[in-house]
Amino acid sequence: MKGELSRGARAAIPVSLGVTAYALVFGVLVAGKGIGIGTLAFMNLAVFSGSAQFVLVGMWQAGVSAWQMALAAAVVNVRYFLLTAAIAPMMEPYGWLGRAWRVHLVTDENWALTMAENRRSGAGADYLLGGGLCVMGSWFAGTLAGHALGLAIPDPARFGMDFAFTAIFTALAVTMWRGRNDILPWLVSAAVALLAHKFLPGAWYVLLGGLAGSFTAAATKGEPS
Amino acid sequence: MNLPNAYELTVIALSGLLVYAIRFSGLVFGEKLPRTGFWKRAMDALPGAVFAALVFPGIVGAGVPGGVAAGVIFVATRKTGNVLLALFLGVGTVAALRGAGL
Repeated sequence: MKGELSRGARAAIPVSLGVTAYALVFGVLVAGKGIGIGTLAFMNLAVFSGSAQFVLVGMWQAGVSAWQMALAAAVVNVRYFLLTAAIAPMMEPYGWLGRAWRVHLVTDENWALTMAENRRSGAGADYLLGGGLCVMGSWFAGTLAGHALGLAIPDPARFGMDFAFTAIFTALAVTMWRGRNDILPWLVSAAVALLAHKFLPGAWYVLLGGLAGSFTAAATKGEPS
Repeated sequence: MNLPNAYELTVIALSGLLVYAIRFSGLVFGEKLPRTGFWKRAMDALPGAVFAALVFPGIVGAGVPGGVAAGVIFVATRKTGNVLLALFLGVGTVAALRGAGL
C-alpha cells in the first residue's frame, strides 16, 4: 500500500510541472488583486481546485455577495461529480471518514493518471492519494512563489495583466468547445451574460448565462438540425 | 503574514464547502446520475456554457484589443491545446494593441 502511494506521487511529477506553471500565473494574479498570502494559502487548502480558484479571484471585488461567488466557483466544478463517481469503487476499502478526506484531493490530473493506471495494474485509492499530494504540493509551491513575484511587478495593467483572467477563461472555454453544436448554446450564454452584466449586480451574469446556455444545449441537441 | 478578514473567510469557506460537496456527492450518488435525456445533456453542456458567460462581458469590455486577443486565444488553444501559451499570447496581444494606441 505504501509503495502505491509513492508510485502515484512519482507518476504525477510530469503533470505537476504543468500545475506549477499554471499556479505561478495564478499567484501573480492573486497578488495583483491585493489578496494576502494567508488568504491564498487558506483558499488553496479549502477549495483546492484551479478552475474554481481562478473564478473566485476573477470575481474578487468588494460588493459581490459571498454566496454568488461561491456558487459560480462551484458551478464550474460540477464535473468533479463525474470524476469522484468514477473512483467510488476504489474507495470502498475505506470507512466514510477515510473516504471523506481522500476525496478532497481528487483533481483532474491525478484522477486521469489513476484511471489509466487502474486499467493497467489495478492501482487504487493510494495511487490517487499520492498523485493528489504531489499536485497539491506543486499547487502550493507555485501559487506562493507567484504571489511573491506578483508583488514585485509594478503597474500590471501595462503588461495587459488585467486581461489575464479573461484570457485564461477564454482558453479554458475553448478546451470545453465540443464543436458546431455548441455555437447556439454559447451565443445564448453570451447574450444572457452580457445583458445580466449590464443590468444586474454582482455575479448573476455567470450563473444566469451558464444556465441559459446549458438549457439551450439540452433542449436543442439530438434533434435534426 | 496577513490573515484573511471576515469577508474573505466567508467567501472561501463557502466556496470550499460547495466544491467539496460536489466531490463528496459524486462518491455517494454517482450511480444515480441520469445517463441520458435532458438533464444529462444540460450537465454536459454546463461547464462550457459557464465559461462562455464568464468571458464575454470581459472580452466586450476590453474593446478591440480584447476581441482580437480572444481570436488569438481561440486559435492558439485549438492548435496547441496549451492553455498557458494561449494565455500569454492573449495578454501579449492586448498589451501590444494598447501600446499601438488601439
